[in-house]
Amino acid sequence: MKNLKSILLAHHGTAGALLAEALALETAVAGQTQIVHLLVVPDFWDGMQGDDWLNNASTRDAFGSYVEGLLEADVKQQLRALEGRCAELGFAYKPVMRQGDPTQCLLETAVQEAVSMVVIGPPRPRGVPGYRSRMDIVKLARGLHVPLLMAARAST
Amino acid sequence: MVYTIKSSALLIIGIIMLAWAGLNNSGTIDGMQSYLLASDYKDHAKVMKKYEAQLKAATDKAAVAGEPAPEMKMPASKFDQSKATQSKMSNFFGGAFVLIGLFTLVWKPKPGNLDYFVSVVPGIAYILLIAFIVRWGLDPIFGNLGKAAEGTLGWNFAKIFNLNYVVLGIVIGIIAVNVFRIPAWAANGVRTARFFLKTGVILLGTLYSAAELAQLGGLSVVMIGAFVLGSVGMVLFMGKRMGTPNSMTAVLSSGMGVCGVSATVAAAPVVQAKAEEIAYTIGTILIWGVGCMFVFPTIGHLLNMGPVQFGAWAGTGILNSAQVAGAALAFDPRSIETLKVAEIFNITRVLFLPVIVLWLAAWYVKHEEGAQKVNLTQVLVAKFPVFVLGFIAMFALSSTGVFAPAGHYKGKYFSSSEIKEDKLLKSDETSALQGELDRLRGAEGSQALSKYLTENHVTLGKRNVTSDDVYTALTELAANKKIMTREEDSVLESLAKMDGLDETAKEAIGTAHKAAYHTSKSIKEYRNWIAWLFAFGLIGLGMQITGKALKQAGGAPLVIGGVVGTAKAIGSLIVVMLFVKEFI
Amino acid sequence: MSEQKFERGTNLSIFVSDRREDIAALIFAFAIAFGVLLTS
Repeated sequence: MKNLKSILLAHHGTAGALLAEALALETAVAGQTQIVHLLVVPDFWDGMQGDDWLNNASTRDAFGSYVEGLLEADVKQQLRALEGRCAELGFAYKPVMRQGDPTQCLLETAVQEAVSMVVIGPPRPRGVPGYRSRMDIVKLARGLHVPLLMAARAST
Repeated sequence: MVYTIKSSALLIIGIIMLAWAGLNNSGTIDGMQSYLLASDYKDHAKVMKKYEAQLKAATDKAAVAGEPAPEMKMPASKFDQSKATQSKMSNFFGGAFVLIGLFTLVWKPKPGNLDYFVSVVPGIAYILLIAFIVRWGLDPIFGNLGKAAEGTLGWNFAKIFNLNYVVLGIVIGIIAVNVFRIPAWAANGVRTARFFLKTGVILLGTLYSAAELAQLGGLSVVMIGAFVLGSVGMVLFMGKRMGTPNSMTAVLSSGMGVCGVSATVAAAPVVQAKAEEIAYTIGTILIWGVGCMFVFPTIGHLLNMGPVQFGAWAGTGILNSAQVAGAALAFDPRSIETLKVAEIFNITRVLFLPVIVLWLAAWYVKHEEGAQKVNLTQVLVAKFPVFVLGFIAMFALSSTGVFAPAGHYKGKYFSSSEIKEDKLLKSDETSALQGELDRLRGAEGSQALSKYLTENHVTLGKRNVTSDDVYTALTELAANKKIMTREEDSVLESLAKMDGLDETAKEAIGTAHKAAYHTSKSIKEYRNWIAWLFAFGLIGLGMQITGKALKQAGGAPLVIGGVVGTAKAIGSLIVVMLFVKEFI
Repeated sequence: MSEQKFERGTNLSIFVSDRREDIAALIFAFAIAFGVLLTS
C-alpha cells in the first residue's frame, strides 16, 4: 500500500491483539510507516471500589496504588515488547496511552494522531476468559474516517 | 484548584423544592396528595367528619341560646401533618439550596475551604431531590399500584418485590450513574454518601437497650464467626480443587467470607492479587450483592420472618455490607427494628475484617515464597473503623437514659399515668369486664380459667400466672378504667386470648392496652432521621455501582462465588429459621 | 505541595482522611441526637 504513513494498532497483549499486530506489521512499509500503539486502560477500573464504605482511606489508597502499579507494569511490558519488535523490523513507533472506554479512545486517537489506517484484532470468541470491555465494532465503523482493518480469526 | 462548578442546577433544585412546599401549603395538590398519602387521607376524612359533627352541634346549641355561632378550628389530621412535614423539609432545604445556588452564580470562588464545601452542596441537593421523589412520590405510587393490581394479579407485586423507597432509591442511584452519568456539578457532593451512612450508623446507637445489644452481639459473633470460617474454608477448598492461583483464592475468600468489596479492597494488596483476579472478584461480589438485595427481602416476607430473624439472615448471608443495610430497610422500611439487627451484624463483620486480613496474609506467606510479611499492630490500627467507636459511644450515652427512658427503645412504652381522659374505658366496657369477672369467679368459670392458664403455660417473668392474678387485674381495670401496671397488662393480654370470653370485654382489654402504650416521640424522631440518613447514603452508594464493573464478574470467581454465596445464603437461612427465635 | 493544599478527598469521600470523616460523622450524629432531645 502506498503512502501508508501511519497505522493505529489497538493492542493489549490478548490473543486477538497479537493477530492484529502480525497483520499490522505485515501491512506496514519499513522506513515509511509509523506504528501508533494505542493502549487503553479500560474505564471499568473506576468502578472497582464499588460501594466500599467500610475501609479507611489508607486501605483504599493502598488498594488504589496497588492496582495502579499492576496496570502500569502491565502497560510498560506491552509497550516495551511492541517497541522492540517494531525496532527490529524498522518501523517508527509511537505509544499512546488512554484511560476510558476502548471504542471512544480509539476513535479519538485516530483523529488526534491523523493515522491512515486502523488495525484491530478479531473480537474475542465467547467463552474465552478476559475483561468484559470489548470494542464496539459497529460504533467504531460508524465513527472512523479512515480504513479499518480487522485481523482474521486464528484458524483452530 | 477551584472545586465549585458554575451551574444553575442547584438553584433549580432549590426552586423545585420550594415549589413543592408552596403547592402543599396552598392545598393546590391536595387531590394528588390524597392519592399519594392514601392512608393518612382516610384519617383526614374521619377527623373532618367528627369536626363537622361537633361544629354543627355547637352551632345548634348556640342558635338555641341565641348566641353567635362559635368559632372552631379543625384539628390537624395525619394527612395535614404529613403534608406539613413535607413542606417543612422542602422549604428548609429548598431555601438553603436557592440561597447557595444564587451565591455560587455570582461568586468568584477562590481555592480554599469555602470553595470546597460549597462545591459539595449541589451533589447533596441532587441526592436529596432523588430521595424526596422516591420517598414521597414513587414509593406511594408503587404501593398504590401494587394494591390496585392485587385484585387482578392475586398478589401485591409492590409488597413481594419490596418496591419501597429504599430499593427504589438504590435502583435509581444505579440507573443515574449508568444511564445518565453523574453530572459534573454533582460529582463532588455525591461522595458525602459515606459520611451520611456513618452518621446513620452512629445515630443507630441511640436505639438499643443494653440487653438487646448484648443478645444481638452474642448472636452475631457466633453466626458471623461460623459462617466466615465456613465460607473462607470452602473457598480455599474449592480453589485448591479447581487449581486457581493462591492469590485469587485468597482475595476471593476474603470477599466471600467477610464483607464483600471492602474485604477485597483490604486483602488484594496483601495477597498480591492480579488485576484480572480483582476485577472478576469485585464484579462477582457486586452482582451477587445487588441480586441478594432484591431476593432476600422477598424470601423473608414469603417465610414470614421476624425482624431479628431477617436481620440475622441478611447480616450473615449477604456479602456486601451496603446491601445488607439495603435489604434490611427494604424488608422493613418503616420501623428500624430489622436494620438495628442487621447493622449489629455489619459491625461485627467489620471487626472481623482485620482478623481475616491477618489470617490471609499468614496463609499467603506460608504458601507463596517471597511474599511480604505484614505487621500485626499496623494492620489492626490501619483497618480499625473509628465510626464503630462512635456507635459504641452513642450507645453508652443512650444507655444512661439521656435520649429516652430505658423502656422506650421499642418506640412504644407503657405508662398508665399518661393515659388521657378520653381514652379511659366507657361504662358499658367496665360493666362487661365486671360481668366477666363474676363469671370467672363462679365454679365453672374458675375451673376453665385455671385450666387455660396451666395448659398454655401463661407466665409472668419466671412465675406462673394464677387465677388470683387475673381477678386482681380485672378488678383493677374495671375500677380504674385503665390498666395500672405492666404486669396486669401482660396478664390481661393472655386472658384476652382465652376462648369463650365476652366480645365486649375482649375489645375493652384491647382498647385499654392500646391506650396504655404511647409512642415515644424522641425514638420516633431518631428512627425518622436514621431512615433518611440511610436512604440518602444508600442512594449515593448505588451511584458507585457501575454496570461496567458488574460486567467483569466471570471466570473461576463467578463459579466459586456462586457456589459459596448460595451455600452461605441457604446455610444461614436454615440456621436462622431453626435457632433464632424472636426473643427480643 | 502548597498549591495542592486543596486537592483533597478521595474518590469516595469528601474528607481529607477517614479519621476526619468518622469524627465529623460522630459530631453530626451527636448534634442530631441532642437536637431531637431538645425539640421533642
